[in-house]
Amino acid sequence: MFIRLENVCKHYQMGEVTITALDGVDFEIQKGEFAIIVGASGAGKTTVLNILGGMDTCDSGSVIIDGTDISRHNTRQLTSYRRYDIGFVFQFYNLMQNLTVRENVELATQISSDALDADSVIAMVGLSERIDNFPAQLSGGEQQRVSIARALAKRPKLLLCDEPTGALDYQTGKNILKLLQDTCRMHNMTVIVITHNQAITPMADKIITMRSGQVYSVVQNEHPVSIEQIEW
Amino acid sequence: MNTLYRLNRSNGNSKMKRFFKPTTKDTIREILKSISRFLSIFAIIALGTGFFAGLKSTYPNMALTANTYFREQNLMDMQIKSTLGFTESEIETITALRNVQRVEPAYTLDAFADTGNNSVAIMRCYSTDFSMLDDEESISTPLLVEGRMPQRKDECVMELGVFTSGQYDIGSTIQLFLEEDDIDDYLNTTRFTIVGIVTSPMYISFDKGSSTIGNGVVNNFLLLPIEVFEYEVYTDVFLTFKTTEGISAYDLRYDSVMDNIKKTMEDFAAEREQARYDELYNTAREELDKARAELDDGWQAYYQGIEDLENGIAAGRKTLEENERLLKESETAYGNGIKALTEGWEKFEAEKPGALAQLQQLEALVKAMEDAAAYLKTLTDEDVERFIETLDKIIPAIIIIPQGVKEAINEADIDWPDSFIDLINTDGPIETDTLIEQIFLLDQETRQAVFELLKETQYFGYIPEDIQDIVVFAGEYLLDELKDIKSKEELIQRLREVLGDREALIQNLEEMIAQLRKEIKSGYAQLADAEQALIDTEHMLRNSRRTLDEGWALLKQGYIDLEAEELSAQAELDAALAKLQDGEEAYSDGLKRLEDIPYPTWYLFDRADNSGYSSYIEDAERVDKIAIVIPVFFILVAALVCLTTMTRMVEENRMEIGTMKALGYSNGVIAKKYLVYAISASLLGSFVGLALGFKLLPVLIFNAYRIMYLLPDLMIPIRWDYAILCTAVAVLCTALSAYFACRKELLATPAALMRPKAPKAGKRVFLEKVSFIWSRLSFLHKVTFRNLFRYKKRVLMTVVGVAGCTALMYTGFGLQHAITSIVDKQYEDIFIYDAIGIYDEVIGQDEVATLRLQLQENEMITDYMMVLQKGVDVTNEKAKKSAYLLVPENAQELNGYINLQNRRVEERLSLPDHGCILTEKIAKMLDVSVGEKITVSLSDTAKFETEVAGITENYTMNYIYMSKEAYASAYKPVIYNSFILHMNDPTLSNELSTELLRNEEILHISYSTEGGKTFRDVVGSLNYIVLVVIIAAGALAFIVLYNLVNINVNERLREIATIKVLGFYDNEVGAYIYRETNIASVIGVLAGLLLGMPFKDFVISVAEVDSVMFAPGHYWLSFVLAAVLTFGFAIIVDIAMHFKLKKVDMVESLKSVE
Repeated sequence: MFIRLENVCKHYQMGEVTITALDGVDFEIQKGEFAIIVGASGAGKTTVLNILGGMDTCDSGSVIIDGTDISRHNTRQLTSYRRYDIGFVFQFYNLMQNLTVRENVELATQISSDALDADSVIAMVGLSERIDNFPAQLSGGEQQRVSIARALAKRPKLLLCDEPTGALDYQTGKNILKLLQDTCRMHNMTVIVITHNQAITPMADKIITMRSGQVYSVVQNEHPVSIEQIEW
Repeated sequence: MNTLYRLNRSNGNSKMKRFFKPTTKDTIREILKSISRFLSIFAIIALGTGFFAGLKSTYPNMALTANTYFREQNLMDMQIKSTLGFTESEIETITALRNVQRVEPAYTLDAFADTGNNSVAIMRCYSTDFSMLDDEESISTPLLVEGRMPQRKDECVMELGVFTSGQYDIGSTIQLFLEEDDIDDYLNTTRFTIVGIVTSPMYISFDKGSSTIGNGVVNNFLLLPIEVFEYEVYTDVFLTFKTTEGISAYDLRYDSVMDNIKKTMEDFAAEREQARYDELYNTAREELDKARAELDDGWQAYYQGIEDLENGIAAGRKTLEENERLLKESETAYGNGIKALTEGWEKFEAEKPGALAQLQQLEALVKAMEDAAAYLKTLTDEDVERFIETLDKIIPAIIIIPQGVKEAINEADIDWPDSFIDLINTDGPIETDTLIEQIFLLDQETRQAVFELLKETQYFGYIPEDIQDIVVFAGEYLLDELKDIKSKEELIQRLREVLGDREALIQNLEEMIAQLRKEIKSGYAQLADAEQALIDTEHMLRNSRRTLDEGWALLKQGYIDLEAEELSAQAELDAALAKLQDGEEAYSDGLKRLEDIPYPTWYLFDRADNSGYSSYIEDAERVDKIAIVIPVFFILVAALVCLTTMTRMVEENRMEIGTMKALGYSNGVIAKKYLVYAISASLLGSFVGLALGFKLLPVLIFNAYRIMYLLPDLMIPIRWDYAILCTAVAVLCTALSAYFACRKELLATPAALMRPKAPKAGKRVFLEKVSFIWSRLSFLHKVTFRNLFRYKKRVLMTVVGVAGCTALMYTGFGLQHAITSIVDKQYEDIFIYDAIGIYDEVIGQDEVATLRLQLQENEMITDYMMVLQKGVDVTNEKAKKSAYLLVPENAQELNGYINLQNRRVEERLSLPDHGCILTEKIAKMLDVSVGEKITVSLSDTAKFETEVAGITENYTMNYIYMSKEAYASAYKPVIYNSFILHMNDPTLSNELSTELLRNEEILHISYSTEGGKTFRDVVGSLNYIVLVVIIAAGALAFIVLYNLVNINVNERLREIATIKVLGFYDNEVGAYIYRETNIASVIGVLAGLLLGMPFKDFVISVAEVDSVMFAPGHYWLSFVLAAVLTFGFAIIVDIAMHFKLKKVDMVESLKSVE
């Protein structure tokens, strides 16, 4: 199994109150799967994302990614994990305003040992013509493409997307999801999308629904549909 | 929360509660939340105002301190010295001047005192009337630092100096002495107990001026009781004036008042000089006339004396000669007496035996007569008859005279009558009658002799015994009776007759005896008388001998006395003559001197002539000049820091401002928060900065200067003008920053404010056009460059702050190097001699020769040269500065001891035969160049003019070098007082000193290594100021950089979080952020180094003191240190920020744009 979470718990101490964010989360994701973690606000999906992305650690349980338990990693190991194994797509793109499209992608390729060529990745996301533009000169969708290009350029083992369409309009959001789905299919990339939008779940290979810090259901979708066929 | 809760509770009255409106609470919370931002504004304001207030108040505080000191000690306005001193009447004349407030005449004397190690110090002794010190008007009152004021004649107080502080302290005694003169001529007490330590407003500098004795440098001063001075005239007069009262010492008004007074006093001085000259001339004239009269009297007495002497001697000689003649006569008489006596004695002695014999004969005769008389009485007639019969029978008619008788008669020494002798010698029988006849023809005596002869012969025995007696008797006594007997019968007849009348015979005999006795007695008496007479004469002669001897002795003594008398009288006369001649000579000298009577010169000195008086305020002004530059710079940086900080703060609170606006708060209320925030930070900063700045900086700087000046503690009043100005500027500056920062936001609509601010668009920078560079840059560097140009304001602030910091540090280190490096340059490159010795310049030729020999033969000395070294004042029309004059014995060899070279053209200089070589600093101070004239004053009265022939590199002290030819032609032939030398082993200084100082003429030896050390200590004080500068610069750099990085990080939290999520390691994240500031820092450092060079030169030009020239030029290590230290501060900031970066939560990246 490529990704396996076993009994992952996470508590936050807020003053004198202990908030339980994750309360024994278990799920598995196969390599090359397109997984969607869906749930309402406060269901714990962002915590799962943080832990999967190496941005946070769990208090107990294990998080095994490609045979490595990252729950025991120290800060530096986690940084290396993020650097080499994870591609992250933010809701608000988080592009460097000061860098052009190419440079934003290069930001990732510079630190990665086995990076793709920045220009070809940009071509892949269809932004060759805007390669020398600054983010402020791009539309939201284009910026998110740059963000995806930046994530992909590192050749990550896992592409983590946090509400990738959250800041986008319907059509653009669809296009971005299509890009993610195509990337998964064409490059056999494991993609995990965190979203509160139940409507897009049919496009995933695996749908993990979370409620109150626990996995409510894990559904293996034997026949995922193309995003074009989904309407919401 | 807790803090606020407490805050509320502690201000628990209703008014305060109302005061803490929500907006106010919000402001307070804002401050507590962003305490580091608040502190950075606070700190930069504190630093700026502190520096400005501190540096700016240093000058007025220093002036105030000195002025208060001068006023309280009533520093003199003017000091007058006269070449001839001041008489009491002159003092009265001065006192009578209209403007004069008070006059204090005084005596001064420069004397030596031992300072151990066989070296001496020159002490300037001032007379002081210690009983007058309590008088408020007492001029230049010494300030007692320790101990008490003198109460007795042998007590004194000493100045709190550095030079003798090790040797002398309270309770120790100080023995003053002079070399050339006898100090007892000047002081009646020379040994004093030091009972107190004082400072004097006359000397606020350790430089006490120059002296005519010793090496010419006064080391310290003493105040001696006025009664110990044995002077006829006062040497100095100290004055205060009415019109200067109440005017501050360094006030310009004081100078203008004094200018007028000086003009008046100069006229007065000229008048008094003439009067004093006239007085002196007239007195001398009178004295000379008196002397003339006395001389004339003297001559008269002298000639009278000669005459008296001659007369007296002649009379004495005459008397003596008369006495001698008399003595000689007596001597002759005596001689005759002696001769007579001798003869008398001879005669006496010759006659005495005869006379005695005669007398004895007479006595025998008397005896015989007595016997005969006695015998006669015994004789009876029968006896007579028997005799006659016997006789008749025995006498034959014819007899043959036996041969024996014949021989006896012939042999007897008697002049026999021829008839008798013929008869006797007849051979054969002769008739008895013939014989008898013949016998009785003989005179009585001869008959007696014959009888005696007969008695002697054997033939007498033939006479019968019984008549022998009668025969003898008859033979002896009756021969007289029996005269003219011609026959035997007749004989017998006669015998019968005679013997028959024995009564007659006896009577006859007794008469004869009596007669004889009388004769004997008289004979003896005559004899004794004669002897007695001789003895008497002898006695008398002996007496007269004695008398004579005495007479002679007296005479001799008389002659001796006379001669002595003559000699002494002559000597007296000679002495009188000599004296008279001397008198004549003195008189003619006096006449000559009368023409040479010196015209007195008065020298007027004002406060500016006091050592240190002017330089002190000049030094203070230097601080003031620096004080303008540094704080202005600080305030500029402070303004920049405030502006960026406030701008950032407003940006962060954009949403809040929008919300407030939406809630309906007015712009003023909203802006108030930021204004209060900024103003409270700057007010607090100002208070702290002012408090520290006013108290610390002036004291620190003043204490550094106190190494050169003797003044009471610095007065540090709160300077409200500066305080208010500073605070106002600081508050205005921050308030304006805050206002400008929020103005734009306030003008925007709430809706626009509520929307996240569009990120500032990326822009291409000009560097991208230079593609060959841009393409070589990694994207991270590209980001850095883009960011640099994106946040221009911040970069500018960084550059300015860092540049300022670097410039200040460069100035600090450059200053330090400029100061410390001169020690090596001076004492290793320029003064290449090892030691200089000072000896007594008044010693004679022999001692100098001995000294030279001693130096020559000392094994520790490789070579030496005699020099004259003297503290002098150098003046031209522009300035007056003190320096050392140095005249070497051999101008060519001087370069072996002291390197004379022009620093600018690096050209060796040699001493010319005319003119002098000046050291660089004094030439600069006097603003003279080669070919111009200067005046060199050895004392107030001995000065000469010379031309500048060259300017030589030099750093410490000021020197004028002259060849002995130049000195001789400009002034007078040189008399050396020092020697400079090289040693085989410069570490053996103690040994050399011990050996050389055995020669009592050598007063002091100093080594250039020691000189370097001492100087190093003195300039070390300036390190304080350097340290202050470096600390200030560091603080500045730290605040600026920290603030900037802090803003940078806060503003780019999201960016940082993103790259963290992208997998940047912590150091890469750091580098990403720091690179900008580091590049800005590099630019700042480079700019700072460029800026630092002129700034350092400026600071040096204002900070330099008279006696020192700081090394010009720039030193690589100063650049390196300034740069490294600035980067050091940058790194400290980076490290501090590193932890903050680590704490940045990656979750930030998931949030929406603000």
